[in-house]
Amino acid sequence: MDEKGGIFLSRESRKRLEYILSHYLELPKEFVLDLPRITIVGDVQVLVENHRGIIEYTPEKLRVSTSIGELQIEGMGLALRCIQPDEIGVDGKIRSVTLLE
Amino acid sequence: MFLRNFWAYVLGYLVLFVRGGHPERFINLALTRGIVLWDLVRLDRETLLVKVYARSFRQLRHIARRANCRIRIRMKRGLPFYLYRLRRRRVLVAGGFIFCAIVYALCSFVWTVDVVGARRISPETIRRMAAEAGLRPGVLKYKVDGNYVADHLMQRLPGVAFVEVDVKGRAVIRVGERVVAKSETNPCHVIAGKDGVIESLLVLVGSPRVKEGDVVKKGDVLISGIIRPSPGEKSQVRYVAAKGIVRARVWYRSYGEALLSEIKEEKTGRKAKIISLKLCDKEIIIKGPAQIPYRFYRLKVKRLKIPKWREITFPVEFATIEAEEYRRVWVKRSEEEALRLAMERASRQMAELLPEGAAVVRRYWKPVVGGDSGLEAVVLTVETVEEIGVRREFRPKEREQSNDTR
Repeated sequence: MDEKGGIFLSRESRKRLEYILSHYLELPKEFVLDLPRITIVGDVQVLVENHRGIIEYTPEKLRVSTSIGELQIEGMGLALRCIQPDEIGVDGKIRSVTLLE
Repeated sequence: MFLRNFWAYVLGYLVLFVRGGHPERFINLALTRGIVLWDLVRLDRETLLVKVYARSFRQLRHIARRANCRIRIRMKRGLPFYLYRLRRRRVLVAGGFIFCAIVYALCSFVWTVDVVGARRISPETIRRMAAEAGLRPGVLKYKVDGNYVADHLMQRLPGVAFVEVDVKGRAVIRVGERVVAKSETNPCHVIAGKDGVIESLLVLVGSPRVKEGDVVKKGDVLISGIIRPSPGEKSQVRYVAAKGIVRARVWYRSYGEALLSEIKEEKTGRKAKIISLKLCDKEIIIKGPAQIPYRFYRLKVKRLKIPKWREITFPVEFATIEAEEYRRVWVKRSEEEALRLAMERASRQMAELLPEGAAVVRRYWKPVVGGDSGLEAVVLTVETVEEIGVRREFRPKEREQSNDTR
């Protein structure tokens, strides 16, 4: 708590509180903490939920902006199967999925 | 995936080329406006292939301008575009409708009239009579009243027991002919239809072969149709249709038993219905529980299959399974109760054995002793007096050759 009292917390402590809350209430963390949820299906498909837009897209490389940084997917013949405000589906031969902070 | 493709087809979608320095910017702008894009493929450094719903194309133009991209439509796909194209080919559409109309119109006629079951009456006659009542090839189906035609045929055709008329494209008339009793002039015997002891014999025509008190077996000749001249008389052997009333004592026996304790199955009245769709080897349950929730049950299964067409069986099957729950009940009976039940069962069996018109003279019960101790069994014997004579034709010549031993 800071000197003003009440619910105005610093950014760091608010994050910690949210984490503890979600941990105890067993809420899905991707919603409470605004984290991306990344699903990889074999080496053929990647689903990114809760993204914040596309930074770069070529058939060999896809960079997606998320709340915790940048998600980089490398592979061959990447195609964006669907793009919705909260979900991106990527098809193709996936070689690597990297989180860049 | 499938659903989206379906909606895309119904609503219509466009395949676009997006050209420009930063297609990513275009994508992000589309995202923030809530425009759905799919199947994005980067063809080269500058071009992007995008699919988009036709209705959001206008917005997309605006976005393209802001993202410094140019868009070009490569293909228009889906139902709206297809219908639009069809508008220019009205004759084709009209042809489709006319085809359906013709098929429907042809379906409403009676094309042929089949007659089933006619043996003595010629099918031609029946067809002619049906035509009088309105059923003939070429008439409209709904103008024919099947019941009226059936009534008409019943009235006009003698010797017909029933008529059923099925009005379809291939109309079917089912006829049942009455079996007419054979003429009574043919020579015949009266034979015993059952085993028994002759009680009374009244010969109207023919010569008696048995007398009162005789034991006869089924098939024995009671009154012969062969009349031989009495000794000394000079006349030929005559063959007549024997006639007479032969009454005999006949015995029937039935058996009933009841266990002192047994497990019975009883309906509880609860039912479960499962409707499932079978595709190849997979079974998809559309309605009802995945498993039958009872311990004891009986199943009624109805399967609906798409009929085979040219050796191709469709791997689709529609099944309705109905499970009725049963309860197992342990029944205990006292010896008296068991005996009563056994008697009841024996009389029920007897009721089926006894012919109509048989006068019951005596009935007696006999318990079966010995054997299983957990069982009460009883034998019911009924004695009746009834007519046992049955007419049977014979051929005089053969009889003569075999010396009429009967």
